Amino acid sequence: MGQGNSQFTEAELEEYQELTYFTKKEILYAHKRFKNLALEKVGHNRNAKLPMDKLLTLPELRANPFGERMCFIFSSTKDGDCTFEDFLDMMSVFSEAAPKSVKAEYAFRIFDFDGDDYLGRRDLEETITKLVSPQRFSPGDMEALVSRVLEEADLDDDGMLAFAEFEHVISKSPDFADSFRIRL
Amino acid sequence: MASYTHTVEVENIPLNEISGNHSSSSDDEHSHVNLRRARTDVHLRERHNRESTKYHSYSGRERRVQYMLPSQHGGELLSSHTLHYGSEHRQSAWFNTVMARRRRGVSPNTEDEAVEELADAMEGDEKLMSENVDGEIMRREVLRELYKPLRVKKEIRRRLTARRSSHRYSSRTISRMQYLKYTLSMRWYKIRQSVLDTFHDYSLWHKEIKEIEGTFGTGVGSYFKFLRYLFLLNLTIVIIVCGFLLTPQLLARLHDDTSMPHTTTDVPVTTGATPLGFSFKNVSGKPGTVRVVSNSPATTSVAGTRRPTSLSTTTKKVIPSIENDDTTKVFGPLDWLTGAGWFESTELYYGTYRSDSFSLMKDVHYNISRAYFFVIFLAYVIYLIVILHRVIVLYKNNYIDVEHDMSASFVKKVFSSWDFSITEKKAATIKHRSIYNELKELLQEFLSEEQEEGWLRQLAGWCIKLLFWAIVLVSLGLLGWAMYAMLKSGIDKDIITKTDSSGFGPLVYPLIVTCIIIIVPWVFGIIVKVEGYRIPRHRLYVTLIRTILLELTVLGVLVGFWYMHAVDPNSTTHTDDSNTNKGIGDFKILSESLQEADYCWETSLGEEFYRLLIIDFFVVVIMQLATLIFFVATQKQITKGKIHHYLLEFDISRNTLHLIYNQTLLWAGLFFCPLTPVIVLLKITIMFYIQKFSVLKFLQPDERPWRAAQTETVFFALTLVSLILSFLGYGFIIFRGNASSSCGPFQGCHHYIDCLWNAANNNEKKVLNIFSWILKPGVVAGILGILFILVYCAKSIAEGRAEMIKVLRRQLELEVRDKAFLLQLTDKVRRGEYRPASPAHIRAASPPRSSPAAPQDLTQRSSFVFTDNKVHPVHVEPEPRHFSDYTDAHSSDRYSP
Repeated sequence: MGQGNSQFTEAELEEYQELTYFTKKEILYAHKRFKNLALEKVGHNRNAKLPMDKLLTLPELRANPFGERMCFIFSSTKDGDCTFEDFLDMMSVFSEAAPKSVKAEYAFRIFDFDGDDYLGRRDLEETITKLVSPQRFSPGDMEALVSRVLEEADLDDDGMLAFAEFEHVISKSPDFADSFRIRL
Repeated sequence: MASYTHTVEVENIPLNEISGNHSSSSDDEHSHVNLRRARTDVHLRERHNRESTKYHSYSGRERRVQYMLPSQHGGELLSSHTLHYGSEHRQSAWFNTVMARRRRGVSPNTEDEAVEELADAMEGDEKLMSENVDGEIMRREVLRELYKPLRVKKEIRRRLTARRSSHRYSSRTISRMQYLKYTLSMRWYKIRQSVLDTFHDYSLWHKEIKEIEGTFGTGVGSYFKFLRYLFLLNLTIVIIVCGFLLTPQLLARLHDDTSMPHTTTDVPVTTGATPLGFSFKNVSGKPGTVRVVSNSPATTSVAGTRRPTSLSTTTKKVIPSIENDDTTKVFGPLDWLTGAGWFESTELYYGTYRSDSFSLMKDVHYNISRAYFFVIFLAYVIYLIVILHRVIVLYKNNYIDVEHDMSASFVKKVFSSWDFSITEKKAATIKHRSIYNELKELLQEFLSEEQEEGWLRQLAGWCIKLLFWAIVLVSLGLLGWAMYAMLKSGIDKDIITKTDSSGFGPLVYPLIVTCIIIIVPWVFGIIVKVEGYRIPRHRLYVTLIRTILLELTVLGVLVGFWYMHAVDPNSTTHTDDSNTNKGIGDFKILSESLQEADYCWETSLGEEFYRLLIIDFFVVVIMQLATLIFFVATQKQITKGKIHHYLLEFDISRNTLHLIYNQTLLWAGLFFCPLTPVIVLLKITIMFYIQKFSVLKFLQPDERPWRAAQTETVFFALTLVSLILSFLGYGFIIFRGNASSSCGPFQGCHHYIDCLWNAANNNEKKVLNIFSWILKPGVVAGILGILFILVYCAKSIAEGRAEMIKVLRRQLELEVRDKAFLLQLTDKVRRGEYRPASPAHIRAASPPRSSPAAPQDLTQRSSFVFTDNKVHPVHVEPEPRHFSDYTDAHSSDRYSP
């Protein structure tokens, strides 16, 4: 019966609903998933903080080459450990209802590995490496790929992508909103 | 070198203009714009000349200076909110407040401060805090879009709520009315939201599709979504058909069965309208004059292919009914497969429907023949509107809005090719490999593009493609002819051997067709690989087009064959005989004299469609079973070959095409077998579960890249094409086809439409006239034409925008160079290498003649804008002009004589 219902009051659910792109049912479901990661801990404190390793056991994140990055981005302490609210935030951004612009903002952070608010050559290389993971591009190919990406997207020719540029290209890609989505 | 002369040409245009009218300053301004534009071109051309090092002379320190610029300051708020609100033309005052604070150098240190700051700023925004639903929605959106952890959002929201409520208490006396209004509308908003949420949570197959997308990614998911879409669409049609056609028909039958003792009735001629808006009269003749021999109980039960209800035609045939009456068809063992026999007397087919009105209550008459026409027409129109709408939306989203940035293919691959919904390790591995291959392919394509192919090779390539197209088209033609011959011979054989319809005989044709539909696309898939289309997407499209052509050929031949037999008076005897064979032997004797009365080609055609649908279903099920067996058999095998891989792969495009084929069968057969939507609905439902099972249990996802968004559009467009063709075919048959004279709702009319014309008198004439006018080919073509024009306009607008984007892009590049240049300058000033520029100094610095003092700055600047000697080889006018941009205030006087 419980369904974690006991852990939230109606008002709290309402609040979460207002702040995320989820329905109440989905919020409860998300909490159930979160709780299943560490039954005892979360059962004790519904907003317990789970270490990143625990989070990465979630199939949605485990199969994902960017899973670790996602934990870092959404962790409110910036160390990869997430509370339930952080987790909910993550799932909300990746939900179907979240608009493209919000998704683009977080996608930018995820791809920005060094955290300097730009996607530089290094970031792009890292992204591509993670994308093709067991396979590998030769340095020459990688160089060419990165250059192509920059040539296409770098409007102001400064050798890296600022968020505005990133969003501009992403908005032109019809598949982005579809692919940047997790079904919980 | 070619570009060099060109450059001069470009530059010359504004120059001439200046020398023409250098009297007024406004002209001057105008020419400046032109100059600037021309320079843009020059810039770009030079950039393409790979002289980029010249521009990028700034590096190291200067570069770091550049980061300090406000526009480069990618603060957490700056980027997203300016863009969001900019694109939606919404003011966000609170955001401006925050930005203003940042600009003043105030930025929060702790989280509390940040919350405080944002809350304050938001509170200051009147629009955001307004006490109505719009304000509430806006608040929600702003909070949701904020790039902050949920905890902070929660805090901000609490503060805002607290402040709002205190604010409300203070001003409560003023706006009690408003408050009430607010609460009411808020409640309404919440109810609506929760209803929508419920729909979202409990939408059809929500969980199943989620699961599939989770394991296999969006590509496979799109197939299932398409399936669901068709299911819902067909469900609507089923409801309409059952509600307005099947129920009345069954009621009428029931009514007749209970009140049957009379043999002849005067069909009451009324002009009363039912609540449904149809008004009913006797269809077969002029009001008040016709006597319709109504169905005797026995004839109704036989109904089916021969219902000798006599009509207003001069020859009244009431004879054969007596012989036939006792032969109520029993359900044969194979009937459910062939659709013949017992089914012929059910409401499954056209032939069973009645042509007269019936009334359950006094003065309320329901005319089934009219209902038949309107319901089928309505079904087509609904299909057409819904699918057209979908195609337009998809086309707009995925092509018009996007297409012009096709150059960004690498970016798209890198940033949006990972499917975040994948949860299975296996699927992830496949995805990794697929992305790798795709990127590699793209890179090779790009590199090979640089070295252009020789025209000879290109020509050869074109020839090969043309040849293959010709071969495919010819073989399709041959196939069509073969189908026709088979249909014909099949019927002749029927006559000779007198095979009973309950045998397997009628199943041969649909079986062959189904095999063709399944096998030939594979062959197309192989052929297209030989042809050498370089872009994979083109390969897919070509295969799709050919497959659709194949399906249309097969179905077209089928309908055309029956239609020709119906129209062609010479062939009626043959078809007639064949038809009789399906019935009872002794009836054959009578058939000679009853050729016309007996024959019901619509029902026969309906049966064909039924068989096609059923056989197709079984073939698919058997194939799935075979795959499952194959999977189980080879599961323990360690080395898995290519065939194994191929067979166990879920080919999205082939499966989707199969769905479209099904749907096309429905549309083509709708008129002849009005219950096809029901069959298709059942079939789709079962297919969903079968496919889901096989996908989750033993199939593998497609390794080829599947660009869901754009390919989906193509699939919908193909669906639309087949729908329009079916619709036109339907229209053609309605207007030109010969209705069977002894069965179905349109008996007694030469053409189907005649029944409507006959009925169209008095008060409804206008409506029907309008109706018929709409149906005219010219008008239909006109409507289509207008649609095309609209699409064309939308497309040209988009193209215009794309052009604008290009211009702006160039502008942006220029601005960036300007910025870099200025930064460089300021940096120099700071270091004291460059004297601060007074206006006089600038004027002095610009033209080389007047100030030869600063040569190094000058060269730098000129190389920055463009190389002087390159642009102006002919010294028609002195160079100074080119610096006019930088010394706007002083330049005009120099141009004046």
